[in-house]
Amino acid sequence: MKKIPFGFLLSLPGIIFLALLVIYPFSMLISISFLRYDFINPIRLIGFNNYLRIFTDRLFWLSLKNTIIYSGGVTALTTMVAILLAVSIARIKKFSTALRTLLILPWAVPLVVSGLVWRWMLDPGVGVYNYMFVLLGLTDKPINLFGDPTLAMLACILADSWTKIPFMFVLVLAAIKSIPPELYEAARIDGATMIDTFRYITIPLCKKSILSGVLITGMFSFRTIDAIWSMTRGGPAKATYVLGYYLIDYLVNYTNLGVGCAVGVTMFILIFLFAGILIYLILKKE
Amino acid sequence: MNLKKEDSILKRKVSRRYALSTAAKIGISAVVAGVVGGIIGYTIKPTAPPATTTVTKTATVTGPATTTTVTKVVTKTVTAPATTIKRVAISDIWGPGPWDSINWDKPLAWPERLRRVKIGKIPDHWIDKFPFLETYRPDKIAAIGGYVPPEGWKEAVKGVDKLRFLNYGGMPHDPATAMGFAAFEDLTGITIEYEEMEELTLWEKTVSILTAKSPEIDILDLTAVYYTAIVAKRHWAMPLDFFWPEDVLALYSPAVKDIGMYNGHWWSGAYISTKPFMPFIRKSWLKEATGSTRLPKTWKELVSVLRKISKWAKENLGEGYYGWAVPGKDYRYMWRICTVPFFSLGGELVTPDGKINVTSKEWRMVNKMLVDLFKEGVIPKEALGWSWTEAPEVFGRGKAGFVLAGTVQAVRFSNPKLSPGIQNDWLPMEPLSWDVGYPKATCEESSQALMISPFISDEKKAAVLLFLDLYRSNQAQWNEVAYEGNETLNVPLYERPDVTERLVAGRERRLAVQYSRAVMYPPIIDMAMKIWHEWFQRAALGEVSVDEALENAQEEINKL
Repeated sequence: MKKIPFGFLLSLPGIIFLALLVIYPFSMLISISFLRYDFINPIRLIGFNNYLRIFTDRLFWLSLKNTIIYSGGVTALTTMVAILLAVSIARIKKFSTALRTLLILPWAVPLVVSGLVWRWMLDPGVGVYNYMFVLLGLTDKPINLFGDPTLAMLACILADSWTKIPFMFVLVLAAIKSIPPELYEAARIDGATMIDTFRYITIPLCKKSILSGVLITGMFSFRTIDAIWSMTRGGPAKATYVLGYYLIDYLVNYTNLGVGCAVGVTMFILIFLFAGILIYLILKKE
Repeated sequence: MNLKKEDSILKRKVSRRYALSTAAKIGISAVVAGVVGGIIGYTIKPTAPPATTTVTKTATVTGPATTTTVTKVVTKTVTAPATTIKRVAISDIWGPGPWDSINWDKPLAWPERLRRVKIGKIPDHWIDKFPFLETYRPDKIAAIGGYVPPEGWKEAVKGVDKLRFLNYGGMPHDPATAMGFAAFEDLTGITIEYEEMEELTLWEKTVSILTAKSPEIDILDLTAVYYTAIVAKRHWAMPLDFFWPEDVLALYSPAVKDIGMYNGHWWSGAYISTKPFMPFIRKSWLKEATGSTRLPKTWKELVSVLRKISKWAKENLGEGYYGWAVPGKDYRYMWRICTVPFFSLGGELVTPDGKINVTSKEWRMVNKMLVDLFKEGVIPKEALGWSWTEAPEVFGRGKAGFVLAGTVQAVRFSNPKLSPGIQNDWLPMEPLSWDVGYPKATCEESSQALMISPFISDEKKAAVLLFLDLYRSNQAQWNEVAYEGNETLNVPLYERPDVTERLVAGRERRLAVQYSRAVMYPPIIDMAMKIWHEWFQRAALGEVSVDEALENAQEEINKL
């Protein structure tokens, strides 16, 4: 009598879940990307025409460039600030729990809300930051962030990073806490400065956690548009128009599912490549 | 943990009989769980959110002393020869159905059923359902009756107890809509459940429901000029050719046809929140900058005045005070602002073959005017980050000398809580002409059209028809214009004393409705506006010239 491995049976619910909620929708995404599907013309197979359309569209390359800048900016700012905070909090004995709790709070804020809050705080007319800058004499007039293409992108990066820093902070702090203190003691005895210990002990030993955080932050920021939606709507002059926005435009506003799915597949491939490289770096044996 | 034991569990082989019986048990459990979950989900399915309990205290303040001229209409009654108005039967368009029992001309002729209005105190049960009606207007006077339903409606809507609707924005800002729902429920016993959402989210939700051919929504609520063509082409709404016979159409502004028809067919049955654009100017700034309170009558004059206002504001008030506040972030509102002078110039945005044209002489002139004002600082660069609510807010806070916004803003500007910076210091303006010799014009592109979903039951379609008939009647439209502060396409309402006495800037608003123009755009309009908006902003930022911007925009639009 043929016997079925029990382990396979235990995995079955997970496989069904994966099939229904990941594999099936993903296969639909790929198949629709090869169709003309715009609710006006009959649905038919058109091969790679949708991909050709997006790759010859100026807006696709513009949005890709903006996405790389945005995602890179969010990931870089998040990583730097999170490492700084983690290293600082790791050294604090008193009130560290309270500080950690406060630092994690922005994680609970939805990105859209973060965008709205930062939008008003940075507003040139009524924003608290501009008010303080003028009051303290740092600038003689309010800084027009949302009317300037470069500064608008910075503002969006700031709003997005603010909600992602807590996650990276937790990852890095956990990694720092797992470093044996004897290493630091030995280094101190050998005359290493704080910068040396940070550079030669903390960072290398936290590398995998940092890379994991970079991977997750990069992937999420590559595809999200929440903060941009609430702050700039992709402007001014499409300076903050990212791939996610391009996708939403085709899928919902123009109801062209074929092109929208082609954009989705393209985004998946780009994220997959990025993730692949980082996963290789994470799993690479030293 | 005993790893060896764990390992052996995973590798343990089972008999086929055991495997099948285990799988059957799991399967049956899953089915039972699904059924139970479905029953629970169905019974606790979220209903429309209850009316907000937020009490909005709105103090109605009489606007600045404007002379409200009641235009006396001398109507010469001519008894026309008896003509039979042709009625198209619903079954000719929709096929046979429960709607066949409806007789639109009984108990009164169709126009008469729509014309009647009964004014009175808002009933307590309406306030219980929508608590914000308690304070929206202190006198609580509204149109509470008048509409006469047609005979045979009961048979047509048998079994319908509720209809579903997506509202553009929060219901506390739409008291007229709320009262329309309440009146409909009183008349028919049918409740209208609603969800509140922002415009683009409303469209996204509507698209996903219609794509799925779902009966989730009965009454479609869409910006008429942008979405009618899309909806019509995709057969996402029921055609309403029978709903607008000549005698009924005579009750409305000709603009009803502009925003209700596409490809020779009617798609909208009624309208909500009609808002033509109207210019508003700061009285004291005008006086200080030009030495006079004489209002400009043409765009050419206005631009000259705005330059003076902007210069005066910078010299006397400092940074953070502007000439003209525009919603530069919002591509639709910027497009609408451009169409205001454009319509006066007599330009056409849609060619006879249905293509969008942004390189016409008139469109170039208007774009050049605005871009020049950006470059001179009359319109600040900050405006590129302002939404359609922020620009009027900047004006209301007293930070700008001029704004071009929907007529409903007149109510906002009269409210000291909402517009503290400009009380008794603003003036509404009549629609402007481009220059002497050109016609006055403004744009009307924001009307929400109400349509019928094709994916609902026949009885529900009949019920929605009834609701649309009520909502386009004078009863419902009286509340739109005299209670809420929007405009209406039921132009004769503006001649009623009980309307004119309640209007802020009534004369100018009536003129805005009278001179408003609208264009029914092709399905690609949203893409075209976004393309144009990007290039317009680039020109405003000085990256490209106006001509380059429009040529580039046209090239991309042509590829759509």
